[in-house]
Amino acid sequence: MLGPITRQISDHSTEKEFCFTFYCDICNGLWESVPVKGSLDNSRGCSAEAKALIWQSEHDAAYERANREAVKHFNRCPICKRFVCDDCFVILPDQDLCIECAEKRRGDDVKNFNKHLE
Amino acid sequence: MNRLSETTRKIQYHVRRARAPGISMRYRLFGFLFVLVLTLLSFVFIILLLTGTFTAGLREAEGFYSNELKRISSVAEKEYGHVSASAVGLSSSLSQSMERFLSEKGLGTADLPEAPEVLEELLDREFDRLLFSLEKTGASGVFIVLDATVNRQAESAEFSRAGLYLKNMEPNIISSAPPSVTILRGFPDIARDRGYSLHAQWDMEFMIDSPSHFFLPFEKAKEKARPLSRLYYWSGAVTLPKTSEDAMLCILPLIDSSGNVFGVCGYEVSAMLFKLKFIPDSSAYQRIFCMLAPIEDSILRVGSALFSGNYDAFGVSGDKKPLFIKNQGRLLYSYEQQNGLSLAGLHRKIRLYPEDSAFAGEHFAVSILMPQEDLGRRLALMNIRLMALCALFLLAGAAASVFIGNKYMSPIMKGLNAIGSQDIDSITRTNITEIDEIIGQIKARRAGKAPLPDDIFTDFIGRVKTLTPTEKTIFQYYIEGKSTGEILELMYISANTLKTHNNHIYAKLNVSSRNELSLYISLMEKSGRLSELK
Repeated sequence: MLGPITRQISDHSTEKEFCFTFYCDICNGLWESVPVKGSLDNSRGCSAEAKALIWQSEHDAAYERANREAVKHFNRCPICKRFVCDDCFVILPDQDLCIECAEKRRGDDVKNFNKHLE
Repeated sequence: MNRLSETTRKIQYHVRRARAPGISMRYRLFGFLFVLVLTLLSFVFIILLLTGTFTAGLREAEGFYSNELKRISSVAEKEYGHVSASAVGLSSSLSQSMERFLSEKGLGTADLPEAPEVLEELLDREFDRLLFSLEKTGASGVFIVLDATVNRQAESAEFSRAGLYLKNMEPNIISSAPPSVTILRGFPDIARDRGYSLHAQWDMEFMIDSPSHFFLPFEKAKEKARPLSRLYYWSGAVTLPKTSEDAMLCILPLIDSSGNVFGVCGYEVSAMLFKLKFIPDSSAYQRIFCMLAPIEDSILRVGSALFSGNYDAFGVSGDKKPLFIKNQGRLLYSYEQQNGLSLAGLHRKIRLYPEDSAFAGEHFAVSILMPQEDLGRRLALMNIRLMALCALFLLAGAAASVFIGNKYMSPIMKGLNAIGSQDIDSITRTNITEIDEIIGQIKARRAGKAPLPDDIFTDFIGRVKTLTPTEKTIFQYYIEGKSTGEILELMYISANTLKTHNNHIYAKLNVSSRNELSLYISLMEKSGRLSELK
């Protein structure tokens, strides 16, 4: 199973539907996946074990789908590799990166510039 | 060989064109122009019809006939009236003179049949009067017929009557020369004593068995007392006995003071005199003739008619059959004989008698006639000229349609042929707006498939170089034909981030949409310059 793209993820899945929340790695801004209904409502006469297996299988599939969907809603910083929301992502002329890496790079640039002046 | 193949090619072209559905422009144009010519011709035809041009010939003929008829009939009325008046005067003077002579002899007019011995002297005394009146009147003959005969014992005494008939052998209507007189009837000594010759058909007395017209006025005078001017009678044309000459006779009774009718007198208007006096104008119609004949209802009595003009050409006078007045046309009458002869013309009654005349019920008409075929031929000739002109107009119109059509079509066909050829770029302006527009549109369409000018690509390539690395990466993915979803997965950016990059790319490359961008990429690919974008 693919690991979550963001470091934080909440699983709000129930017996009947599967729903996940992904959080921005910087600001914890969230994105909820579209709930997917399970098929256990129709599985009358199945054993508890079977039900558990079915639920688990459907859960995993829903998670994979949500994970892939989440990629479209988060930006990965090429520097720190974190997945951040649009608010925490900066589009710069030379590179797109998260705001923390952008700040850090700006600070390095100032240091280097001052060093140059020295 | 070249000429043969060229000819063959042309034939094949025309055959192909003939088999092709639809009508070619050239034939369409010719058809429209020809219809225009026909329409114009129809208008001209209608105008000619409405203005009576086609019947102008008939109206001209009617005018001619009408004028001639008016002229001749008025002259005839006048001349015959003059003769009638002279005859009345002659009768009056003769009656008085003869009565006076007989009275001197101790006789009355009623004694004449019993006194044949006085007949010669009686008539001899009136010779000069007759001669003078003949000269003055201008008639062709003058006569007296007495109700008495010289030889009462003769076999034919019942029908024989004494009298005197002076005939002018050379009636002259122009000069007033003395008549050339012969004696047709009368005592021979009367002629010899005066040096006049006897007519070839001379006879001493009149035979009145066949021409009863001699004594018609005689009988009318006995019926009822009428003035002399109401008793003159015009016979139709009669053949003088033992002659071949026709003449109309104006006959009046001789009446003495006590009302006893003892004979007749009168004048003759011969066929020769009529022919000389009433000649119709034949300048326009060669076979035109004039006829004076008794008329009853719709019948002209040709057997009692006098003629003038060119009437012998078809023997109407010889036949003597009556003419039936038929089918009054718009302008002219038609007259038919039973033998099939058909004439065209006009007629008009003339007044020979006063209204209260004893013979007022008898009518005469002057007719101006000619063979129907002559009139028809003349009218046809006039209309043929008109038809020939119309045909000429039609031919000229057809020729002009062909010429104009060719002139009009030539540059159009050149332009269309050039369009059909591959070398459309070499076509200069045809100066036909529609053709030039088509050529322009075709050139523009063809130009649309051709590579864009280099300066557009160069500009685009230059703009691509202004993209940021991320934008370039995205642009490359577009070149590779990646979809939006694929790009998001490959670049690990959100949809909003991609949207922002797209806007930047569009702005920098001066395109308005993904489609326009794709078009540029496609054009550059076709131009073989796609590698310059990488």
